[in-house]
Amino acid sequence: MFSAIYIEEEVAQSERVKNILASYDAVPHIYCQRYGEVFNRKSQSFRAQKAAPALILARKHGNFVLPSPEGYGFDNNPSYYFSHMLNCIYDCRYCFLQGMYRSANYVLFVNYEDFERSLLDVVKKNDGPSVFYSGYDCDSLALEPVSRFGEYFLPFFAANPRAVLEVRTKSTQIRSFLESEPLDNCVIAMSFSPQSASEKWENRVPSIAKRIEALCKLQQAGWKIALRFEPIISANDTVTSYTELFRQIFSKLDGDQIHSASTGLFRMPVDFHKNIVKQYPDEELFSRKTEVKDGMLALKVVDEESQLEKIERSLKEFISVDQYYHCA
Amino acid sequence: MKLTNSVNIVVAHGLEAKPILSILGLEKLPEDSAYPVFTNDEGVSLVISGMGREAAQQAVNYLAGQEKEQGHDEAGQTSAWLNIGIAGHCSFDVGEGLLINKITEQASGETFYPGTQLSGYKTASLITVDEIERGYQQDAVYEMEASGFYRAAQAFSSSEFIQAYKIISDNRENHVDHIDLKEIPAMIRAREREIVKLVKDLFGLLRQLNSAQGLQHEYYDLKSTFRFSVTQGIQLKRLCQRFNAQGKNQRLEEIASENYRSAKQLIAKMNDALD
Repeated sequence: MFSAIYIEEEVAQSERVKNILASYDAVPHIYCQRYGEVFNRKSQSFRAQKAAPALILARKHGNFVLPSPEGYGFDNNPSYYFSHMLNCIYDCRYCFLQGMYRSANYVLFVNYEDFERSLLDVVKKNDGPSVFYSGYDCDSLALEPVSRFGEYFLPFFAANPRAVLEVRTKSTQIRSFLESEPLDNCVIAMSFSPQSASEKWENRVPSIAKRIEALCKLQQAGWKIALRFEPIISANDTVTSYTELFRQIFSKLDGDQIHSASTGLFRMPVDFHKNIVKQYPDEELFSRKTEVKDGMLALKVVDEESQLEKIERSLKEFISVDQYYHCA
Repeated sequence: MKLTNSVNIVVAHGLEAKPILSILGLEKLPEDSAYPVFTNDEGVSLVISGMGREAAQQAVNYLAGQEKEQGHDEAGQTSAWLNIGIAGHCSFDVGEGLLINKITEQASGETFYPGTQLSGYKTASLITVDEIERGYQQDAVYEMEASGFYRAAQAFSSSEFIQAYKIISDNRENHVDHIDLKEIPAMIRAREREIVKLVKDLFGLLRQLNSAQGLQHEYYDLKSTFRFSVTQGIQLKRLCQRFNAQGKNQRLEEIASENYRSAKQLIAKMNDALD
């Protein structure tokens, strides 16, 4: 699974690291001082690394919990995000991470206890509820068998019911949730694209059917589940393909019990797009005409807004207006 | 699509080079050059740098300069760089071959991390020293060129394509002071299969990357036909890439065959065609 495992000397003796290394003793173990030596250096090819990424085990120093970007999320309460991991094991060609990081290697910050302390500080700082999003810089659950992220953090949220956790994922690694009592303050949010887009751009991602199956199990076990339809990328059959996707999903899931469903258009910082074009000059998606909208790069599509409206109308045949939001 | 995949090998000493020349079918370039350079028809070049990290660094710079003169840069093609040589270790068996995944320069403390995308090799970390290592204090391979080689190569390529492969010539039981130099070629020759595999693996990695970066012949034809400003040159390159990405190379061919008054007019036509 990993071409190598880099380990910061500082965390080498932690139990969490030792357990991970024991599971991967056939893979080269390479020691470094700081993960940035490997992750942030110049002269790396994201694309070449993506074919055989390494895992980097590191300690995060500071900025454990950050305010979430404006317009992000389903709640008007104070909202934050925290990233126990950088990069994703999936290889979605539309993903902004390709342009954000120099390296495709995965960084796993193993000092969960420090994250937990910061989360508690933030929870205590707010008089009312607060929302915490996981899965901004990575897929929250794809590496669960290695990271045990869900296993570690669910008890924290169980003990802090005012703190709401959204776990954003495309993964079917849901065992940690099925083996725990469902939490009222935890939402597992699964991302979807229509079949044609998924085949074209979502490499190594579990099939739509498998993801729906995972959501079914979670829903039946009493967990709150949510649907995230982003990024919406225009094609000739965008509206019909989304309608078909919605039918497929809601033929299996109880729409009334969905926590929320959201849409989001294809947007990314201009610099990220430039970086991705350097890595993937042959990728059709990134050869399309673009424009800058509200400071972010967007694909230049004549009727993007009207397509979005039609998709929203189609989605609202399955859920209520209160369950829906559009992510800016 | 114009593709040139190159693997550039840097070796310190003629004794180390000799078996590699035979294994890879490399022949000396006839022209006079600052360094002895050997090539074959498959894109492999080898330069004998002389001993020491600075010599290795300069040899890389030299070979990279040669590539630039041949237009490698403009084609956006990445080359692979490979340092091969003998080295010592406290306990590895003499004759063992190791792909290096961490290089530490003892003099400065600087570290380098070659990419880990190649599989099927025994790996080790390495320390580049300025004097022959006689104590083998650490669990690392000791030699004298890799850090200089890597430092220079990273200016021309990315870490996944810069590798160092070392063959153990001495250890605590077979001390460096007692190496019979005449045995070195045989030690390297004994790793023929791995050396061939390593070169092949590097070419495999290169092909994947360079095929994405390759440009159509129309790019070069148009570049030589019109006068482009720097900005226009960049625009032309990106437009050609976009034609390729959208499966419109035939349309590009048609456009390229038409007449234009200027580079500006050509670029406008290409932009319109991609709308």
